[in-house]
Formats: sequence, C-alpha cells, structure tokens
Amino acid sequence: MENLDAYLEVYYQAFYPYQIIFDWLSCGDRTVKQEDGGRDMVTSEFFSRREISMSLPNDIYVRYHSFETCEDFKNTIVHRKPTKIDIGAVFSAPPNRHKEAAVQRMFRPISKELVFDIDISDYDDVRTCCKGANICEGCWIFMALAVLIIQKSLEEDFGFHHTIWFYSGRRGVHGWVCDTSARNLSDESRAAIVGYLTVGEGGDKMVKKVMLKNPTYPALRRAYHIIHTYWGNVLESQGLLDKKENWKKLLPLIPNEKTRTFLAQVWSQQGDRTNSSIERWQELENQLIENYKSVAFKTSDQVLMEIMFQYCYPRLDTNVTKGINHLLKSPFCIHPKTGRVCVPIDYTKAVKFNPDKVVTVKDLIMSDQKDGDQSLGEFQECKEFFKQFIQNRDSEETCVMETEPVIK
Amino acid sequence: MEFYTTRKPPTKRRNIQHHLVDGLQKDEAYPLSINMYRDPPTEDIMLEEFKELALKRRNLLKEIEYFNSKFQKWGEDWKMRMRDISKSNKLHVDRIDEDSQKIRRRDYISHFLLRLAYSQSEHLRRWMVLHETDLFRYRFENATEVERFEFMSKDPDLKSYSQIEDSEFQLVEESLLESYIKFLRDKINKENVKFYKIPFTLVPNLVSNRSIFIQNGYAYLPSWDLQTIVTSVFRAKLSLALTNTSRKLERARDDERIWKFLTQLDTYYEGPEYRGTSKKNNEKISVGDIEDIFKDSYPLCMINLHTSLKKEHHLKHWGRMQYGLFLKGIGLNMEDSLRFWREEFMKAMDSDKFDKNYAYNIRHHYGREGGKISYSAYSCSKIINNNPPGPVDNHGCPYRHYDKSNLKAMLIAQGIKDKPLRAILDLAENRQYNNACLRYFETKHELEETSLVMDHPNKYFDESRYILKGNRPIQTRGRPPVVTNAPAPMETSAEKAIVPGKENCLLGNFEDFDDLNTQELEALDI
Repeated sequence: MENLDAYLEVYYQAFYPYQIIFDWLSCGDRTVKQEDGGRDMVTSEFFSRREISMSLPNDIYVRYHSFETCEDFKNTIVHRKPTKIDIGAVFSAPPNRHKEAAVQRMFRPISKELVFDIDISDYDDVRTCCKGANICEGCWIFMALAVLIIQKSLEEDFGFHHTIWFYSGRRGVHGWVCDTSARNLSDESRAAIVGYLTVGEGGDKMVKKVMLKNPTYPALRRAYHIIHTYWGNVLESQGLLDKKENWKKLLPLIPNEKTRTFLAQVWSQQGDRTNSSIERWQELENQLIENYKSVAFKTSDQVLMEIMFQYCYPRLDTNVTKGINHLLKSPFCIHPKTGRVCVPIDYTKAVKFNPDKVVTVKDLIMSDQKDGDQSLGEFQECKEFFKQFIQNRDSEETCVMETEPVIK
Repeated sequence: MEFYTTRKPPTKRRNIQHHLVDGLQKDEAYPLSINMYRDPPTEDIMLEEFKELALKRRNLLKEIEYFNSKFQKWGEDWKMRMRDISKSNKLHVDRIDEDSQKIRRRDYISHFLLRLAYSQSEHLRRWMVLHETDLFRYRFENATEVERFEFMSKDPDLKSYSQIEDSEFQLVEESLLESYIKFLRDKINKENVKFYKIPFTLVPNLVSNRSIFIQNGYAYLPSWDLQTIVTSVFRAKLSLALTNTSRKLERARDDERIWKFLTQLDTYYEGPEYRGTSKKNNEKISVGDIEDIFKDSYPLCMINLHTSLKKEHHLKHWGRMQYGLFLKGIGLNMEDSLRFWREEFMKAMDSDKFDKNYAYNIRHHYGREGGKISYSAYSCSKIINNNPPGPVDNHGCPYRHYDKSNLKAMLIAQGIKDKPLRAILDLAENRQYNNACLRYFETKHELEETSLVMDHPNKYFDESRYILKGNRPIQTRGRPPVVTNAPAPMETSAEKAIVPGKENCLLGNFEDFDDLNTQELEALDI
C-alpha cells in the first residue's frame, strides 16, 4: 500500500490500542511499583516476560523484544513504526535479556495461548473464485466454516471457553485460545489437538483425501452438521458443479463408478450452466443413494460427508499451533499489503463477515477529523469487543506464574 | 545421585551392593518388575560395574531402535525380538526366582546411569525417552494382571485415576459409543468394559487419532487402553527428569574418568547426521551433476521434489526444507545451493524477489542466519511423521503420502515394473515405508535382498553413489557394534549382493558422464 510509512506513524500515535494489548497479555496479573520520580508504574510478570517482536520497514526482523510497562511498549512502537508486530510466548525470563549469561541457560518458553492460523491459499485446490493471497466474499465461507467448526470443538471437546478470532488483514484468520489451561499446554498436547482437528491427509498426489470411519466420530458428525447447513452457499458461491472444469474435480471423489459415469455423461450433454450447482448436487445425491453399494461398511451419507469435508473441513497451518515458541501477528496490526486492520471477528456472525469491508488504516486516518464517522465507529466497536472478551476472561480465569514449566 | 561425585569417588568406596540386598527383605529392595524409576538409587557402585551396566542399557535401547526400523512396531516379529533380547541381556525378569532381585537392581541402576549420559543434548534426551518408553510399554503389556495392579496402586500419579460410575457413564454413553467401530462397541456392551476419566493431555496419541471420546477437556479411557496412559505418564516423567538431570550434571565434571565415559557414550552413539561435512564417497557433487545423477541416485521423495521444482520453478516451504537440506547433505556448499535455487526460481520470478524471500531460507539451512544452527538433513522418520503435506504441498514420503495409483505411476515412470513394482506397492500398503524404499533401492541398483536399513534420504544417496562406483554394499553399516547374545539379524552374504557383471556396466555409464567438464554439464542443466 502507498504511503504506508506515513499512515503507520499516525496509526501508532493515535489508534493502536496499547492498553488493551497490555491488559490482554498481562492476564490479570498486575503490580504497581513506585518509579523514581514518584509516579506509579504498572508492571506485569506475564507482560514483561512476553516476547513481542517486530518487522521493521527495511526488512529487518527483531526477535526477543520485551517491555516492562505499557508506556515502554508504546514508546518503542511509536519510535520504530514496525510494519508488523508479532506476539510470542511467555518465557522463563524477560526475552530482551535472553543473551545475558545468567539468563541464557535457563531461557525457555513456558506458556502461550493456543493459537490457530488458517490461510485461504491452502484452499486453492478447491476454491474457484480466487487464487493465492486473494480473498473475496465468495471464498470467505471456507474461513467462516473453519472458525465455526474449531470454535465448537474447543468449547465442547476440550473445554476451552475463551477463544477470540481475528481477520488477519489479508488472506486468513487467527484464533487465540486464552484459557489458563490452554496457555499452559505442552507442545505435545498442542500437537494432539492439531491431530484431533485434522481430517484427511495426502498432498497434491492424493485425489481423495478424506476417508471416514463408520460410525462417524462425534466431533466430525458435529462438523458435518455445520458444513451441511452452509453447503448450499458453498455450492452456489463457488459454482462447484456449474462448469465442467469444476465438476471434473469433484466427481472422482465418488467411489461408485456407475454414478460417476452417469453424471459425467448427463452434465457434459447439458453443457456449462450457471447457478446449476445446487440442482446438480441434488441429482448427485439421488444417483448415489440409488446406485450405492456399501464399501468397507461405509454408508452413502458418509460418502457425501467425505466430499463436503474435502472441500470445507478446516485446513490448519499446523506448525503455528504445534509450537509454543511460534509467533503470531498481533491483533490490530495493519497488513502492509492491504492496509486493513487485524480486527476481531465475532464467531457467531462469522458467516456474514466481509473481509472486503474491513476498515483500513487510510479510512481511519481520513476519518480522524469527523465525529460519528463510520470507519472510526467500526474501529471503536472492534476495540470494545476485544475489551469485553478480556474482561470476561479475567473474571473467570485466574493466572499464577509458574516458575517451573508445566509439563503434563 | 551420590555415586559419582568426587566427594565419594566410586572406586575408593567399598562395594556394598550385596550387603544392601541381603540386608533387606528380598521383596523390599526392588519390589516391582515394572518401574517408573522415581527415586535415584542411593547405593555406591564400582566403576567397572558402572560402565558395564551403562553399556548394557545403551545396547538394549539401540537394539530396540533397530527393531523399530526393521519390523512393524508391536507386530509379532517385533515382539519376538523383544522377548529374545529381554532374555539375553539380563536386565529384566518375567518370573520371580532367586536372581530376580539382582536383575531388577541392574535394570534400575542401568536406567539411571543412562540418564546421566543421555541428558546432555535435546537430541539425546529425545532418543532415550523414545526407546525407554517402548521398553516400558513392552514390559507393562507383558506383565500379569497382579503385577499391573500392584504397580498402578503404588504409583502416586496413577492411583488417583479411578473408574467412572455407571451413572456418569450413562450420561455420555451414546456419544462415547459412536467413537468406536462396531466390533469395539459390541465388546464394550458385552464385556461391560470400565472407563477411566482423565485429562485429555495424558493421552495425546489417542486424542490425536480421535480414537478416544473426549468431552469438556476429559478423555474417557477404556480399561483395555490403560497402557497408553501409563506409558504417557512414564514418558512425561522421564522427559522432565532428563531435563532436570541435564542441569545438575555439571557436578559430574569434577570426576574426569566418569565425565569422559559419559560423554563418550554419547558420541559413540550419534549416527551420521548429514550436514554436508562428512562423506563416505569423497565424491564432489556440483550443481551441474544433479541433473545427471538424480534419476539413478535419488530416493523417490527427492526425485519427486526435484521434478516438481523443475516443472513449477518453485517449491513450498517444507519442500524447500526437505530438498534443500538433502542437497546440503550430498555436499553442495552454500554458494552452490544458492545458485541452484536461484537458477530454478528465476524462471518464474525476478532476482530481487528471490533474494528477498528465499535466499535467507537457503542461508538459514547452512546456519548463516537466524539461530546460526547448521541444520542436518531430514531423516525418513522426520519426513514420514512430521509435517505431513497439506493439500497443495509436494513434500513428504511417496510411500506414505501418495495414494496407490499415483505411487504406482511414479514408480513406473522410474522404470519399476512387474514383481518389484507389486512388492513395493504392497510394502507401502502395509505401512512398511522404509522397506518399500529399500526395495526400490535394490531394484534400481539390481541388487538381491540386502540388509541395509533405509532410514535417511542421504543414506540412500550415499549408498547409491557407493555402489555405482563399483563397490559392494556392506552389511548393516551405520550400526555400532552391539554386545548381545541375541542371534545376529539377517546376515546376507556379500557374494549375493551384486548381480555379477552389472556393476561394470553401471560404472561405465557413470564414467561417461564424468568425461564432460563442468561447463558442459551446466549447459545441459540450463
């Protein structure tokens, strides 16, 4: 984006919500100290031991930064105007001292939120509207479904109740699970959660990637119900069966040859027809049920389920979730390519979220003069939403700093 | 632990082991045949015995590592080998007799000795945890009901997990049963299987496979899966203990004899790491050579990455890691590597973009950026188990991550057909990925069955270069000598290893290529 530097300067001065980020990362743990000048200084063990790293405009990346107070944090950010701020783990000592001899030997990450990163570019083999880093209202449905499915699983299966989602500003969503028990998970437990939430395997050389067992595992059945609700939207927005080049990719997922050849013949004869996907899916369902012979005790429902899963089941960037030491972009950063703010998504409204309408740094700065401006209002709402989330978390969760790593 | 500090030099101490064991009731000293190894032994020990026990334990774990690579873990062959080794190395008893206290003592002490030697690096710690856990699980599964009960009820971590009441079971029954296939559902109903409610973090493997029902942070563990949780507690305790030992180990430095022995035990052990520095062939590979030798000497995973790179002029992150570190392992230096990647990538992007987005990555492989760690190439187990390819990736292990038809097509493209083709596909289907790769290797090099263990793409490459230069494969290379009474595994005669007459032909081809000078080869490449 043009003039990014100039915009960032104003944004970091006047908009970036330092206090909210400080409150979020300090996890309810605060200490008031007397500064030399007699002023009160608010610090937090959790905040001062948190890695906050920065990408600077000239492609320099600074790791293992940390700050003692919210003021320190703000001063440095305003001064250095990073193009991106990343948040890492809480360490056994303040990260900015990690090179000191006394610290070096025992320096290790001890806790971090359980995080998720889902990129739309990982859906390139199934979406038909955009490719690469582009995203539109049409393919947002994949992101929305991922958020809904993971959110439900975190609540019901894993018992985590404080998850907040963000639009990354360009091509994906980030999820932060902030429960105390989630922050203390070991790498092994994080990897187990990733495995639990992963369906299907195989790279570009595996045509059919999803194979379900009978009966369908309860969490997958629940995911199926969510996908099923929006499957019509997917079919329609992606035109999955409208054109030959699209249905050619879907048909091989049906294990029944008779159904495959029949449909290919009929649809070829009909030619490409816009908005025919829902109707054609109905045809596919009917054909499959009629011709279906059970393979490996699988029901025809499960075959349909497998197809929907291959298209819509969440595709995680697994390494982000697995490593306690992995960094993830801070909320309310500006995406340098699009200028959009990294804003929270209310997951109950995830399907209606429109990434194209997210407020940009330019909108904000232009709006600064006028009260009641729409962009400014939206930005305030986003901050309020995050603030509310933090208050809820702090009222329900207690945090104790453990000096020894929690290993379960 | 007291027995190695200079304050009490071991050799100067009287050996009081017999006194100790004799003085106690036989059952009190080492009452259990399976062990969490919670408290370090407090007795003194002679240096000779110290060394003997440490080596014995090391060899036992080394054998387990070998079984894991050669046989299907927990399969019949594997179990048979485990049974044999348990008998022969005298670290484990399965019945009580007059020797059992002695043997249990040796088991107990040798475990702690190994902790000292294997706490020194992350790599070693992980290795020990992995193989001690296998050993533990094997013993737990083979213990009698009574022994297991004894063990569980005396363990402070395990005794708190009690079975859930029927009334609580009924609340989750419906969903719980849906987590199991019909056979197991019937079993649960018919045999009235009991369940334990435990934090999900205790059974990461079962959670990861969705083979257990979880709700609200708790996993519902059927009694038949008890060993997984016990194993998991064992693993976690050992990991933690090893990390702690590593911090305390400094004290052992004072006694040079012991320190030297402990650090030697460690170096004795680390197999080849393939960081591009040590090579068995003394062959200098340059960028220009790659195009000529990849078909003959690359394993299938690397052929795939190489051809994808040539086709798309790009590889995604894990593809670059897997292939880039492999290239480093075969001996390309950093400048060569940069040149190799730049040439290919620049067919699809400008030089600026390459320098900005990818050059760092390559320099990083060589430890010139970031954490300054010189990375070693990925082993098969890492390729197979870590970072499975996502839907648009092309890294990974073809035997593991391709479906049958794609694997078949790829093998045919490499000239594999008929019987070997079927054999490789069968091995892949039976999840014996390393053996499938070995079979591919044998077929490509026209060898009869060898006793190589194919566990690293760079090993594949080195062995291939070695053979193509007219050498014969050496049996079980790469394994340190193992002191054991167990029958030596799978010796095949060297005479059978190469089809007579063929090596000359292969060598001839190879020398043809050698005649071209570097510039000519480069010209062919670009």
